[in-house]
Amino acid sequence: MVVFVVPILQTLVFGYAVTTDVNRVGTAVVDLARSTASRDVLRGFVSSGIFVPVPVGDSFEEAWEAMDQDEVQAMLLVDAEGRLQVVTDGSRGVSSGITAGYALSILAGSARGPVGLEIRAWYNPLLESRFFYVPGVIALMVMVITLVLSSMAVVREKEIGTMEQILVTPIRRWEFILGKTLPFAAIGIVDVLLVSAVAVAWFGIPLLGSLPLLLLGAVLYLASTLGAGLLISTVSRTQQQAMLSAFLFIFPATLLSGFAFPIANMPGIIRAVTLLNPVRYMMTILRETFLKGNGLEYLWRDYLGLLLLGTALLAAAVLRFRKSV
Amino acid sequence: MSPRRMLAIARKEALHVVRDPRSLAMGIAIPVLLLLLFGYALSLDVDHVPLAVWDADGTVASRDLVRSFTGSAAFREVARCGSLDEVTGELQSGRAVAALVIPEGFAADLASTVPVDVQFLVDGSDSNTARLAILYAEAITSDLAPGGTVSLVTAYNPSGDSTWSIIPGLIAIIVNVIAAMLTSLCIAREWESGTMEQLVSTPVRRLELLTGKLLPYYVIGILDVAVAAGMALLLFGIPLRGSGLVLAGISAVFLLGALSVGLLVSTVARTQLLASQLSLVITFLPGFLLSGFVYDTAGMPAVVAGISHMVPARYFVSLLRSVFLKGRWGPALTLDLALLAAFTAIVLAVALRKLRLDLDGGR
Repeated sequence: MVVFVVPILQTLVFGYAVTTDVNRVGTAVVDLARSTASRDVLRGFVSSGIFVPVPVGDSFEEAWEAMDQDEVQAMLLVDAEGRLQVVTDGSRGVSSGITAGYALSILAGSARGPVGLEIRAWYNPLLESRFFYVPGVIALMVMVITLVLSSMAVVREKEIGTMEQILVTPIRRWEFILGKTLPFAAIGIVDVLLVSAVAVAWFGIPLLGSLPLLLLGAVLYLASTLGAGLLISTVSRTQQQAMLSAFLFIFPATLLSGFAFPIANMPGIIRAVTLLNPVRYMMTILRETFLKGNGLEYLWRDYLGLLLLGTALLAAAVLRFRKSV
Repeated sequence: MSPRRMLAIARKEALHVVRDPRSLAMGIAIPVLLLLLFGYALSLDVDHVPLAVWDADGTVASRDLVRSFTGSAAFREVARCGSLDEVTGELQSGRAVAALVIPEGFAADLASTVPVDVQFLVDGSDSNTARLAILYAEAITSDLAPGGTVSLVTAYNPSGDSTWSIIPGLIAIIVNVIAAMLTSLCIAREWESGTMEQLVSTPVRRLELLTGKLLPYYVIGILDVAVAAGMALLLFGIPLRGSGLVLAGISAVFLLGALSVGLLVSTVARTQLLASQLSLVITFLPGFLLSGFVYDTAGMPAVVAGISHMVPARYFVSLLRSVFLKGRWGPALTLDLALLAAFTAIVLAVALRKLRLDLDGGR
């Protein structure tokens, strides 16, 4: 039960957490000009509903003090000459840039240049960041669950001594590895289906692409995460080593998957390393299948990447298996 | 509580660590390597957004506009299109993330002072990149020239380089997972290898056992944070605007909390298998997603923000960012520290309660 209920609960919690949209930004508003123009500009910010004024006092010093102490996340400061400073909290990571973006959009309405911009956001017209992140959460959760389960599968038999019993049976090594894989793969597929259902039904993420194709991707993805887990399990001597190795796989695989940190921004060597990361391919497959409805014509490289990695990792687990006992 | 018995347990646990090079490596080398790798690899900045251009006008004015986009660091031209179908293809395949479409008659309209619009299409599926691309496009086309009446300021981080906010958060989530994993096996191992029976027959008390087990890992953890902070300052050039003493103090409280989580898992789980699975599952994704490291806790709904209070990394992320980048202490930080201390006390108390020093206890 745990392997099915926990992913659903986690998706619900994480689904709400993974958003970089800013709304109701606590804002210190100080207007030293007190002119009609400055009041109009500031009213534009407040009426947007995004910037919520927090009373902090009437001086710039008091406003900065409030930001120093995390009481506000943005400041709108108008000096005596009517110059507006939009200050965002640069210690808060990406939300600082997003807040500045909102501010500029509000201002751009009033400061139109000779050329106007007609902006259209495709695939996600309201630019809800949850649409981008929730499909990615599926890949992360399935990886953690399957890797944690499979990395213990072989080493546990070794540690409690039941491996000898298996070795005296006529089972072949690929039969053993495949047999270890199948139950976890079944759990993984059910998890993908459950979590996708939560994403669509609860969070309203559109699934534009083909579900069967997505499931094919999930099968290939599971082959590589389970292959990695079983490889870890066959080369480890103790459960502690296996856990450490699993962690050493999961941590970089998550951070270098493009889930939160765009791969395009990474240095060249690291970008090359991400080609060996199955999560990277699944992340692309999930996002583009859900939001863009893309099929094999655009995603064949990612499916191929998963196929190669999955085959290689499972084969490596089979080959390493006998030698290590 | 006898300090002598506590130290004896600590000595025994330290020997375990020292004689197992792998767990020593895990405790010290791995956090350093991860910080080094991710400190260089990760960035939230968006520049050189791949841009597809469809210039249906083809005049001097339209070419100037295109140049003002592609000449900036914000955009780089990846495709020249001649139809909407081509533009769609570029966006659908992901080769381009944004597209600039200049309609026919653009130059003529501009000369006749008719209000003229160009289309800016953006792939919204990655909403962050999309928002920043729109921000850059608006900055290029609107009248918000630098030096004018409006300026955008990124406080505490004048270069706007996201590394400054990533590194303190990274330290918090790495130490969080490592600390919990270090302690998660230390009680379960005694049960599994049968040495718990020997411990039970000694006069050692629960509190002595618990603190003795914690002590060696606490030393490792302090070492980790010290090395990580040193790397942040010297290698990544992050300023330490607050005091080093405050940094040491909050790290001391946080480490106790993070190690206690592992200890609690270890007392509850009884087997190393379950303990390791539990500690990885409850520290890694929650620490990554609920700590405010990437996803601002201020943007979460109340219930989820409430749940995030059970993730010790959450406090450490905000405390570290404050002490590194802001350097001012205030009520909000005192509250964070108090909540972290309360969390730690509760987890330790539960671990103490769950730890039974009789052989069939807890069954």
